[in-house]
Amino acid sequence: MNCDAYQETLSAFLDGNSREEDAAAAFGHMAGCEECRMFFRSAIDLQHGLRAMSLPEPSAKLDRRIRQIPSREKARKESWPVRLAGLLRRRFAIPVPALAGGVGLLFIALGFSFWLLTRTDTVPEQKVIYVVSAPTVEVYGVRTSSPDTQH
Amino acid sequence: MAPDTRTDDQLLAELCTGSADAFGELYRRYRIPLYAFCIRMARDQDRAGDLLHDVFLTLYRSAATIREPGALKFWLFRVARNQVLMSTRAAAEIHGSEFESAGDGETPETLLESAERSEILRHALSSLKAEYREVLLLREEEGMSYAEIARVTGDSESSVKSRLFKARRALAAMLSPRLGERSLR
Repeated sequence: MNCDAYQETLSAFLDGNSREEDAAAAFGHMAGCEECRMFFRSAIDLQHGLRAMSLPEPSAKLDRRIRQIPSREKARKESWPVRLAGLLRRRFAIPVPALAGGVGLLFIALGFSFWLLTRTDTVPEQKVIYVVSAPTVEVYGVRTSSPDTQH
Repeated sequence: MAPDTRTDDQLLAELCTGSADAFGELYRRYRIPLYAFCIRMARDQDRAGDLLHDVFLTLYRSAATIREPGALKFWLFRVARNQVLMSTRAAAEIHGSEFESAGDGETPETLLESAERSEILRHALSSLKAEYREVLLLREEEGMSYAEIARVTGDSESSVKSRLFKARRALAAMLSPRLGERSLR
C-alpha cells in the first residue's frame, strides 16, 4: 500500500467507516510517515472546523415567501386555465402538453385567417404594355409582315 | 411552545392532503440544513434563496410521489442537489465557465493572516470542486453516513468514500502551509 491508500483509510476511519485491520495498518504506517501524519492531523482539524461553522439562516423575507407556497399553490389550482386543463385531462384523458399544443395551433390558425381577411393590397399600380407582333408569312411570293415592319 | 412530535412520514401524509400546517412544520425542520447546503454549493445568497424556495415548492407539488418511509430527508437533499446543479449549469451558460471556478482573487493562504477560522474554511470550501464540496458538506454538516450520501448523490458508497478522501486532501493541501503554525481547531 502507498501513502494515498493509507490516507484514504485514515479518512474513512474519521467517518467510522474503516475496517479494524486496515485502520491498524494505516496507524502503523503513520508512525513513520510525516506526510500521512500531517494529512491526518489536518483532516481532524478540518472536521472540527467544519462542524463548528455556523449555519446560515434564511431571511425573514425568504421565510415568508416559502411559507406562502401552500396558499399560492391553492390559488393557482383554482385558476381557470389549470381547472380547465384538469377537467379535460380527467374527462377526455387529454394530456396537458397535447392540449397546450392544440390551443397554440388554434391561435396560429386564427391569426393567419385574420391576417388574410384584413390585409390590404399593397402592390403598386402597374402599367400594362401589350406587345403585338405578327409573324412574317409568305403567300404566293408576296411577303407580308407585321404592321410596323418597313417594306 | 411544545415541540411537534409528528414524524416526517406523518407530516408527509398530511401534506399529501394539502395541509399548510404540515408544510410549515417540515419547512421549520429542514430550512436551515437545506439553506446551508444551498448557500455553500451555490456560493451565492440570492441564488441559494431561490433554490430553497424551489426545493419546498417541489416538495409541496410532489409530496405524493415520495413513497419510501423515512426517505424525506434524502429526497429533499437530492432535490436541492439537482436544483443546484441545474442552476449552476444555467449560470455558467450566462456567465461563462469562470462561474464554476472559485477564484475571487483571495486564496485561503492570504485569508489565514487576518480572517477568522470559519471564514477561512468557508473560502477554502468554496474553492473545492462541487463534487467534493457536496460530499464533505453532507458528511460533516449533516452527519450523513456513506450510504445516506450515496442515496442523495446517486453514487456508490465506495465512490463517496473516495470523494471524501480527495476532498479532505484538497482542503488540507490548501491550508497545510499554515497548519503547523496555527491549528484550525
